[in-house]
Amino acid sequence: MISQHILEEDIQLYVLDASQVKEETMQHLEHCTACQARVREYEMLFTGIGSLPKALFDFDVAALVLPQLPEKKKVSSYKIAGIAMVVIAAGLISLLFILLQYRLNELWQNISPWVIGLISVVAVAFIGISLWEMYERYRQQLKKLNFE
Amino acid sequence: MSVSTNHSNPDKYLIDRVLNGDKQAFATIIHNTEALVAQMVFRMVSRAEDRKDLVQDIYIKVYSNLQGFRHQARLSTWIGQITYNTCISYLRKKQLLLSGYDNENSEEEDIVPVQGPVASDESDSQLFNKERSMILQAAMEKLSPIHRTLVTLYHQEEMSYQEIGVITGLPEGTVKSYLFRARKALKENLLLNYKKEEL
Ligand SMILES: [Zn+2]
Repeated sequence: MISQHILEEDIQLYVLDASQVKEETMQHLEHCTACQARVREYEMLFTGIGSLPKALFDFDVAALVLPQLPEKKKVSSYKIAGIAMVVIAAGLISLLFILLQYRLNELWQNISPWVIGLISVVAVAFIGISLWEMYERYRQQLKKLNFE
Repeated sequence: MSVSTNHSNPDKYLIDRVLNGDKQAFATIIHNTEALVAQMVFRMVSRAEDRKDLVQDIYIKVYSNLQGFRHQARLSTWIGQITYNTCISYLRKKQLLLSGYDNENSEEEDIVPVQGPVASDESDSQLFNKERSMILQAAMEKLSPIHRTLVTLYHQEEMSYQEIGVITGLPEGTVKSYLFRARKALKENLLLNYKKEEL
């Protein structure tokens, strides 16, 4: 048996979860009426807090919030339009090649560096813009989550 | 297939619907989480008008950031996190973060949470409990907003230390030690009150 009274921390722990306290604490509690009284104080406190009325909003939260919600950003539809444009452009270029297939070898030798260059520039620009947009959105979301 | 997946993860099902533009699904998210948000907002913010603004702010943040929610925690925990951070930055702006304990006259007039209608024919024991509840309520108001919130989350919402740590961003050890101090302060305050009443 511990001769000194139980630490405040262990009294709390005993009330919250008796299985976690040491054997000697239990032994002390069996014999010490002062510590038993301290246990009862915490038991009353915890029961009291548990039975306090819970806070409730006195207005309809959904009715208040729903009309204020921002409209979904049109970014995704712009993106779809962008992708569609690239696909159409690629299709047109392919069509051009098919139509001029009989001169393909000739074309390949004469103008392919320009066509390839043009396609590369468009593709790089598109990927660049998409990445930048993704980064910006990520940054904004992080900022919002940090609630600065 | 997708339906059964949806039922096994109602959070994900609702979020997907909201992301597809279904605002009614967002209303369901609000209904599912507003009790927790109210508990936290009432414990941290005493001015009723500010609470209304804050709850709007919280749910607009939830809506705008829903796409980034990664299901690492439950949706309610994530919303609790947003609620906590929003209230903390409000308290910081109003310089009320450290109110409590040593700041007893901090806007107490509308601090008591809204309750249901009070029955007129109360028995003696109900009156006794009500009185105790009011004393305890007053003792709670003397805690700092953070301690008060931790006590509420642990003892009323029955959350674990770990879950409270996720919501508040505090290490579990800090949550434990804040709660220890808050409970001790509450108990001492109550004992002081009972002694005063006995005299
Ligand atoms: Zn003892």
